[in-house]
Amino acid sequence: MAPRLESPAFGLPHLGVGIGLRPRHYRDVLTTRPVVPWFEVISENFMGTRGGEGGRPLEILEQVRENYPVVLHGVSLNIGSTDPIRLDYLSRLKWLVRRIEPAWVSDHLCWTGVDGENLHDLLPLPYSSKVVRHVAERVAQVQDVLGRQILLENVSSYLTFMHSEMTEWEFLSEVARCADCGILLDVNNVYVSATNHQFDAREYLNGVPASRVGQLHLAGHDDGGALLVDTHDRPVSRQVWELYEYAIERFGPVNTLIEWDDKLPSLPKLLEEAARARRIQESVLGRAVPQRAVAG
Amino acid sequence: MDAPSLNAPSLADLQRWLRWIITDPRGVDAALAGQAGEVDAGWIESEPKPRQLGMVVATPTASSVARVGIYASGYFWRLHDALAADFPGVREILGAGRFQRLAAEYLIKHPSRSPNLADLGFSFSRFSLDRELREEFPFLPDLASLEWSIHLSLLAPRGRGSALTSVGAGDWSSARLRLDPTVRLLTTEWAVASFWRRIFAKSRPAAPQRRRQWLLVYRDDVWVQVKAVTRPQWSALLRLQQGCPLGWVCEQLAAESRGSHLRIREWFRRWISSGLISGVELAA
Repeated sequence: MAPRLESPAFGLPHLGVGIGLRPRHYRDVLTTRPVVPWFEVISENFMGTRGGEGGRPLEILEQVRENYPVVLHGVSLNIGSTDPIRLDYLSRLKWLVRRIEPAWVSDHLCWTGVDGENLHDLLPLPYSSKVVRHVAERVAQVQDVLGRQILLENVSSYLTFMHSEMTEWEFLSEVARCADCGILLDVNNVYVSATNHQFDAREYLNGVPASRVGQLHLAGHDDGGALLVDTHDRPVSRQVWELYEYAIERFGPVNTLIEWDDKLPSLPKLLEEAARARRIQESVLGRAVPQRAVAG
Repeated sequence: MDAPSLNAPSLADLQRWLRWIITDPRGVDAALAGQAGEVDAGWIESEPKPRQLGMVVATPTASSVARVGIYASGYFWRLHDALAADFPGVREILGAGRFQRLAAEYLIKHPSRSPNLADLGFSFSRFSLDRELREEFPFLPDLASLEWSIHLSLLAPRGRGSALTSVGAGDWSSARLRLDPTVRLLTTEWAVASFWRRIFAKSRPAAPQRRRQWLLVYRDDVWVQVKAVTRPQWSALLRLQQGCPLGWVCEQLAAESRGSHLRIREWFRRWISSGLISGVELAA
């Protein structure tokens, strides 16, 4: 009998603790079929070039998809920009969604470019009610086109603005409420930003509405001295694991993903990080947390 | 949190100023000071007004400039690394310093306008054509062009063509064979194909010789293949790609290659088995 899965967070299926699928691990994943409940991929990496299709990476993703649930995580929605939403991009994303049938779709609460130029970075916004309305209208447009709700992720930031009117967690919560979208809460990003801007990371978690949190992210960061930098190139730090424990107490066994993009370790090492997240969930909740069953 | 005491700038002004400071090749300090850059000053954008640095919160641990600087540094290296991944041979030949400079100059002239980093190198081979580096590395544009073709082939969808067996014997002459979308045809003035292969195999080859090559790039079930073909073969493939009727393509191929029908048939057999032909269109 299949294990009974937890109550869905934000109406999403409970999959458990997944890992990011990156090119270095394609072969291992296809040949060894590791026991992992789901994969997250960067949406843009499967869209091909200049309006083409996704080529070899998409072929691989479709093979992976035959055996695993996949989540699409974008980096170029540019939801906070003052440029119009790029309908060509949205149309490509919609095409990819139809093709992959992801468990859910996410991107970042930030801006990535302006005046048609893409900086390929996740830049912070001023936290004001005016910007909340601006972003919420655009999220509604995106959700209309995609025909589904999306999750927006809090980004790591290295600067904030003098004219912000609210805290980051109030801003995130207000955008999610006004746009009626979900939240992908990156615990590492909360820790990095809390350190860089000297606020209390637990207060941040307390301020986010649990009913909208559909996924958590965990990743490594670099201590650059004056500022922490979100690098995704090393194991999750002790402080972030501790904050994750607190997040599980607060939000329950939410779908969690280990993000590792640079200086990638072997697949077994990455899976160890996922196993650690699972153990923390079970330790905090005092019981086993079912993961989506995977035929190995 | 209290209401802000400052007059808030428009979001568009704030984003435009941040885009300028983050992408300025001189670096944050020099850009703010209005210093002339190493590159032609005509390339550098003037600072959008009003200056927005005062909107960035400074703390005892990090100044506004240091905070903006994290994004500026991240911008350059992220895009530099994307170019280096798509042009590994160019990067290897130039070495780290010269490749960085080429990338910096390229990004000024060709900033990313696509949501997808895979599009960033679209103009790179043409750009490297105009550089002074060409005197020392005359084969550089050819190498960049080959690497971009490989990149495009990797990211192109494979065709799902109709079966060639459905073509009747009398229809072949007017039929138009469709080349697979992964096929790229290019000519180079320098023999860069074997040079690229040796670089890819991590061995440092001697500079390529000046010798014209007709190259066929395509993707099979696993990865991208690069083959040097004869000029008549290349021309035949190009004509097929352009939609010319098969009969005419074969006539031209026979004339140009002085090849026997048997030999031409063998070429076609090989192209079909390699997946170069993804379909056929019959005349109405």
